[in-house]
Amino acid sequence: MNKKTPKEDEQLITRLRDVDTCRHAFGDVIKLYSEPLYWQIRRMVNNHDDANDLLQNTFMKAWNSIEQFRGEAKLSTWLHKIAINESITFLEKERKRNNISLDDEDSFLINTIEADEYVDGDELALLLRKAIATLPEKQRLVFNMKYYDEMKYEQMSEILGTSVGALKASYHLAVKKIEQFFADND
Amino acid sequence: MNENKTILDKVNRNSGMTVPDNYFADFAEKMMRQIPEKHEAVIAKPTTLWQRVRTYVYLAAMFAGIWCMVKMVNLMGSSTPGTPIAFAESEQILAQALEDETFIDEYCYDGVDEYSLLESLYEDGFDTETLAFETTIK
Repeated sequence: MNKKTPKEDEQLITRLRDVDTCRHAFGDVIKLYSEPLYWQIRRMVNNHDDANDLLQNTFMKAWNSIEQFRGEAKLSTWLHKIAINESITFLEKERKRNNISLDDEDSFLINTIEADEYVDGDELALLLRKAIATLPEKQRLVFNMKYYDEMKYEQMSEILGTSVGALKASYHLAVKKIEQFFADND
Repeated sequence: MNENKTILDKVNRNSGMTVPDNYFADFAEKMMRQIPEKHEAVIAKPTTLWQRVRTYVYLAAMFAGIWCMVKMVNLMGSSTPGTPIAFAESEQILAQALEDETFIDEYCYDGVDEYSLLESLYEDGFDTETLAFETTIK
């Protein structure tokens, strides 16, 4: 998770507002946020090539719509929102393209995980990825943000537009389901 | 739950997935090559006075239009019978009509039937049998 302070974020936004420095500032935005956004996307789509394409789309959309960013939300929140929307739209398109129902999505994602060539061979981590793939989309998002990114519920709430209470419940349910998955695959 | 927590704690959060060598180092450079130039200020573009006030101008124009329509309807409505202008006009026509004897014969007298005429005469003290004025004083 990116640990930028609000002041640093503010300085970056000030530079983005200036026509002479905006391009250079956006280069800094890419350097700062490409890694956390990449992992956010990669955990959703489970494939490096797709994650790479979606990350590029995310930054391209951010650049093209930067006029709409008024600095009311945090820069990271705004970028995460774009990345999540890109990932969800991609998964929906993939579901339609492969004629997969929502019920069969987990097996589709597990196949994608198994076909992913950029893995380190950690069996436990692989099993956890498969367990996460069985979760409904929203729970998967919440679990990834909390477990991997260690994001605060308040920021998750801003990104996903869901109440903190609902997010806590969602995370609790996700953990329960993962627990069950590990028990079944023991 | 505790067992699961142990499992989740056992998993290295940063392991499982990898990326090609130097992926993140190269990504920013590649991305910047794809990004088109912007020729105008990008964030918080200053808005022109017209952009700021146009909504209010449109609203004002709309209300002015409605006011004009209401005014027009009122003017049209005021020329209906019963209003002073219409009454003055109709009064003039009535005056002309009353001066015309043919009009009175045809439209006023012809409208009174015999029964009404006799009743009216009776009330005025005429003996309707003889058509003589009753002069008997009790």
